[in-house]
Amino acid sequence: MPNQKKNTTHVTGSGQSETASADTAGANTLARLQQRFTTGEAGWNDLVFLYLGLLKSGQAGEAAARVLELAPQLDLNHDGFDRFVRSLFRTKAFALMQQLAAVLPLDTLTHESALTLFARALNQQGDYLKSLHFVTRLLESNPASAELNLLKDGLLKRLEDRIVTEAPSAEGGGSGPEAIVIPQHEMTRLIEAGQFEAALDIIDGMIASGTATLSLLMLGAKCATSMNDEDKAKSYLAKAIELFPANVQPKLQMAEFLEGQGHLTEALQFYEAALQVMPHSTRLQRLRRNLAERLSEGPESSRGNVALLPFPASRVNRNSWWGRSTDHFATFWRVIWNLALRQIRLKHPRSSLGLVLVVVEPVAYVAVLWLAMEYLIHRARPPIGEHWVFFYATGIIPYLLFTHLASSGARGRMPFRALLEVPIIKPVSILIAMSLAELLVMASAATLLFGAFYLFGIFNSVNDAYGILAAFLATWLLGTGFMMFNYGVTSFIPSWQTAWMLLQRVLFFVSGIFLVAQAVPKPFRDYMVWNPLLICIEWFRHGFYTLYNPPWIDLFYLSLFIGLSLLLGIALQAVANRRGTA
Amino acid sequence: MSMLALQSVTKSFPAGDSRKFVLQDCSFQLGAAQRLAIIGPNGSGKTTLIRVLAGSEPIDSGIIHRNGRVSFPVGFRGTFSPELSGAENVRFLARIYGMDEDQMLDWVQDFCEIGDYFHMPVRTYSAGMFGRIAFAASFAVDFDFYLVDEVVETGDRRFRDKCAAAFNARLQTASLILISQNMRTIRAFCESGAVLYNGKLTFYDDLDDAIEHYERLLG
Repeated sequence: MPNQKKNTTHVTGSGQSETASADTAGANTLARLQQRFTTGEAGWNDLVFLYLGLLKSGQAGEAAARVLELAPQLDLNHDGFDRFVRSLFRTKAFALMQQLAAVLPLDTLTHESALTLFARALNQQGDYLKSLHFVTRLLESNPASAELNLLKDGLLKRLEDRIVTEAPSAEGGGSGPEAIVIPQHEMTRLIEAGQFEAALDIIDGMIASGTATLSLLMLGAKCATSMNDEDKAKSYLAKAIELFPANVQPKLQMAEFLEGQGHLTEALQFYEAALQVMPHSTRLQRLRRNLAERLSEGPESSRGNVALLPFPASRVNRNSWWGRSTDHFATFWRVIWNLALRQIRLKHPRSSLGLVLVVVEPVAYVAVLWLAMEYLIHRARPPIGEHWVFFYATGIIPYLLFTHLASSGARGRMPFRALLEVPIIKPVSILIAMSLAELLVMASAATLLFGAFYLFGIFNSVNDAYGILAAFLATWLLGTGFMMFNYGVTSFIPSWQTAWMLLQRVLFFVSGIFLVAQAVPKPFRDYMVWNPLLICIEWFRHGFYTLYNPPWIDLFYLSLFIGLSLLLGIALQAVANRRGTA
Repeated sequence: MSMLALQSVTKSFPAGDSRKFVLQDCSFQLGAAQRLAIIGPNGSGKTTLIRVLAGSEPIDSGIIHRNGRVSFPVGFRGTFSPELSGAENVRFLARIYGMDEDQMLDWVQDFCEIGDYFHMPVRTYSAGMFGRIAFAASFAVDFDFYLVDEVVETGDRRFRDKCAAAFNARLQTASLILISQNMRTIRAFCESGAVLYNGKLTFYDDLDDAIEHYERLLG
């Protein structure tokens, strides 16, 4: 392939006519650079200068030729290669890069950014297979890269199209004149319509005429599997492995196929063959290891037995005597409760201490900020009471409860979206479950924190235990209202998320976490006390401090605000969800 | 008595300046132990119809009565969190559907034959293992209406036979709504058929009539 493409240099600049007008100073520099190459002291940077210099003086053809001649002499993994590739890419010398890709040992390259640029250049040049080869390699070390995944999807799409367009001109040409060429999508249509025999006939014909492509063979194998013709499926895969030895897909398919049939030893061979093509694929390694483990366990007695197992007993609570509507409510609640537990469980799924971490997180937050206050700010006494950490905790706990809820809504994305395909899980169930999970976590954290304060004697009695509870629940309801409201708004105006995060920063300072509203001078205080979060926090605090009894804990105003935010939130999220799924 | 009924339901999508109708003033009723195949050309809205029946797609107008439990698409993998073990995921399904947890867990573990992997995170499963546990979980819950989008079975032949057997046993009491373009699958599972085309659903008591109609449409 490189030999064919070498003649087609993309650069059209006509060197000779412009050489004369190039200034002599530039020419001198170029001459000096060339000198360095002959003496062998040049590096990538010199090549960049040389290339850009020649390009600038209009000798594009010469520039490309020099690069092709000099680049293979330099060390790829040397600094400066990155810059060199970037210059090529920036000057849109894609054809040159394609030629370089054929000449340079890029498989040994460790510069990932340079390799990405090569992949993109090859994509530009239409050499999708080679580009895909690089992208796959890059994805192995960096599987989450959005850029690479996007590139890969595009490449796969284009390769698929190309199979359709290129199949007839497959090289060799030894095929008979009546070689049948059916576009890929036609085949897919036949197979979807259940015309397996017809599809297989066509594929057989194409194999005989030597025009079969890899994806057609794979399609044939899939088709034969659907017809329960396992031998035929195997023969297609074997053919694919024979014709396309450098491709990992048929080998992997064959291995999984054999594993499914129970031919474990044979399957292992194909996993190993696949691993030879892609030795770094962790997925392949894992599959191979699993199979090796299964092999060492020996034959399983239950295999090969198709007896139908008894079905589980009928559902619990099927005909509850208290009627259908309570049954509906019971289902609704059961779904929410289990979703909430699942969300808590999934916060730190990989840690065995996951549940502990969830609760300790807010406590650690309090501890860190308290230490910062204590040692950096050196404030001797808090606005009320004796202990800064205690005063601070009474403010931050409701604040965290509220902001966790409100900001999770402002993200505007439903977690576990896929669960909405399950009929008994409604969008609103997921939102309520989010709110419930937060309540459970924060209530545990608050119990732990204030329990510890009590044990260490930081406080020995509370002023109003029910008030504390009520303030906590009010904060939760307020947060839930804002969660749904934010969820609704963000799904219409995505930039609301940023705006809300800014607003939340402001709330951190004006909601009475570090200070009491009483200490704020009059005109400002009058505005501050309209903040419902401040009222919640002061109410919560009032429950702990007997002497602190601010007059602006207006429960009527607060309930009104909570009620409105909930109503508006529920309405908005309903509209957003209707729109979102439509 | 389970029943799934649509009453003059309309569902459409905006398509350029006009709207594309998936269902236009459509009414029908499905009782217990019926096996209906819905066939139609690509893009006629079969998957949307399934989502409408499941309730995961809002409708423009009309009423849907659901008396009985409607399944998620059989073999659906979205309920499985890759971070949790197969057992934890199945337990979640058992709980939200109010099944006896231990019984369902035992049954699924037996059915899917993935051995100790049942207690490993789902992200470590091979595609085949994932498919098997997803199907086993679908068959374990006793739904009144099973919705199937294209695939009824997975894996190698032996497991496919097992799936088909389990499914047929379920369908002694439950109903099936299957959308597929694979006539083999349809003939294997369904008794009656309906053709979805241009927002209209035409019902045939005899499956062969429906298939004939569909083949006429394809030309």
